[in-house]
Amino acid sequence: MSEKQFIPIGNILPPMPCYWSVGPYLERFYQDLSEKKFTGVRCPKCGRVYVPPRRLCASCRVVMSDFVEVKGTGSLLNFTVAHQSVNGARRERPVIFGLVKLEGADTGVLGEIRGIAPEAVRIGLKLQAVFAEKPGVTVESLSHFAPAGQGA
Amino acid sequence: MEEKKKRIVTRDALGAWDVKYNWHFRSDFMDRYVAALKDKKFLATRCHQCGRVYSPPMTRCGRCFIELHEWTEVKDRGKVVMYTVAYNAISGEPLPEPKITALIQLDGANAWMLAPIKNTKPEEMHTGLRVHAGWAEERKGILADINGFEADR
Amino acid sequence: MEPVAIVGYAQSEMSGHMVSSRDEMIFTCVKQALDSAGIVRDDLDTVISCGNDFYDGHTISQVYTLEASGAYAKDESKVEQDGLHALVYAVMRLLAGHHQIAMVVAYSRASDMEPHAAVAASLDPVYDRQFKVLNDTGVAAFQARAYMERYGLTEDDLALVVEKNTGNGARNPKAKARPATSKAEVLASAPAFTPLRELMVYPNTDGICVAILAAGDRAESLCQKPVWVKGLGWNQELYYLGDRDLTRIASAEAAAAQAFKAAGIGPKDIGLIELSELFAHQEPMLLEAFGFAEPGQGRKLLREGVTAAGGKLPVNVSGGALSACALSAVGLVRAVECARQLRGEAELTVRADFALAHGQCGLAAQNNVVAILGREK
Repeated sequence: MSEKQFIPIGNILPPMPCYWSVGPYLERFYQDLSEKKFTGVRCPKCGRVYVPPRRLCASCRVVMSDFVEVKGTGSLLNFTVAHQSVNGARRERPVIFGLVKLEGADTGVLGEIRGIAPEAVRIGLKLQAVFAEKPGVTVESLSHFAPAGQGA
Repeated sequence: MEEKKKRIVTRDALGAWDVKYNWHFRSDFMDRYVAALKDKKFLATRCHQCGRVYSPPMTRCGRCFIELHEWTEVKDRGKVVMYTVAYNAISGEPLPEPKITALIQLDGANAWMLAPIKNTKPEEMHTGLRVHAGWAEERKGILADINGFEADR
Repeated sequence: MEPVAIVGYAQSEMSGHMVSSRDEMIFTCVKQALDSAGIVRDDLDTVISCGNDFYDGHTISQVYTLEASGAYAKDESKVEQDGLHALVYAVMRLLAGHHQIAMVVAYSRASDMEPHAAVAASLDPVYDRQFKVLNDTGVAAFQARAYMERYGLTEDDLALVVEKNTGNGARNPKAKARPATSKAEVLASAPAFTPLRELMVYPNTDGICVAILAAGDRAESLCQKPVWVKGLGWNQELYYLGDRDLTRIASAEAAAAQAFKAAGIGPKDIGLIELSELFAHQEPMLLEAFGFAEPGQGRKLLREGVTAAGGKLPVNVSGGALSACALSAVGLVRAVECARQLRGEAELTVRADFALAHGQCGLAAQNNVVAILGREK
């Protein structure tokens, strides 16, 4: 039998856009984010404040509805410098991406970190949120976090 | 009486199935089948155990669970086993003209071939309808040499 | 409850470049597995297919591959996690008493798609995924940094894991996705998502793995050396990145505890470990989770040579996920490698009475499954 060769057939999937309804908790979060505010929700039982907010407390399993505003300043919980894009290809410019604990919140929010060299980033770095000039539909309303005291 | 729960509408977060796929399959089988189209021939493979003839050719017989090596030929005409008429595209948008797709059993084959039906009105379609392959004027040994199937008249 | 054993198995060559089409690879592997068990397709009672729509590019993707999997006109069911979860399901089917012989088929092919983009689709779509930055490597990087900062690990520790495992993999004719790689090469590789470098991340792999299981008497009549499933455990953590304590893998702790309890043994009885370390830092973390080291001390086992191929407790003598990692199949491959060892069929034999196999799925090992295998019934 002849040597096997393989024919590749590229992407022939029809475009499949998805429209996920964000739900009432993230709706409130994104609405407030577009007004340059961070909103969380507090558990009535243990007092934990979740930012972004969600329905059930992870430990108590009770429904939360006590919305609270948290400050746009906080500290860096964890971070990574992304040299690759989502599909693994190399990025031209690395992106610093982190989990930020805002003052008053007990969980971390994701966001890009700018205004500091990647080598200088440390866990615990004091940060402040910088909002987009024009608000977006979801996370685009938040532009990035910058080291506190630096401003936009 | 219980008050109906108010339906809450929230914004949509947009996304997509965002992975690039690149499926591969054996070209020696496809190449041989496609090359024969130039001569208006439909090749097939035959299972030496159960005798089933597969057109387009299969590399395996699923029932007997063996590899197939025996090539044979089937006619370029046969009968419609099943068909469907589409009035909308995959997206849901209406089509300018209805599209007929049929499963055709070519004479000599056991397996059915999926193909579009042209020059035939939906009202003319029925299971058992005799059809024949349309061939491109200039054939190059590519899949496009087959120009749909149409009803025998 | 009747004891269940692995009575046959096969693996395709696990490589980063295409060996054959998906159908062919599955068909060949299934035939080899049937031969190894001395049975024919007719003897199978049930087939568990383990694939993933996102990896295959079809929905309900196993309907397409089931013919090649030998599942035509068979009682077949589908699992979309790790091959070791599929093994758990097969064991449960046999234990229920309606089936005597089960076959597990697990596969994926990186050459058909983009693995990191596919796994990135498990990110929460309404928030996490909207940033378009993270994928499975990015989330694992958060886990690596949290763990390394807490316990003082360095890049060196991670590079040593890769060196050990790929060195082992070079001996394994099936593990061909990444050659033996030195510590220096790992440290010289480009950063992926810091602190992880490219060579600390699993290699893109095409691979199929098949295992055949039978219950009690049937297993003994089929096979001279059945490998008995002594205990199973599986568990999962919360999804939210902000919620998880990324310095430990709590679900792996629970899964291992459940498996040890079922087997009636403890960590000291294990002579060989095959774990799915998709990212280098996960090997010491998993060893701690299974109870082989105190929190933060997992790296000592490596540095002191305990987990080397010739050490007291060899880990990933087959090469592990860092040498070859076909998503969906990787955990089942670990179980098959344990079985090969317990039967004395491996390239470098490790004497052990009990072996521990592990599989994971989800971001940063959110979901873990552990199987304990043994020589005796």
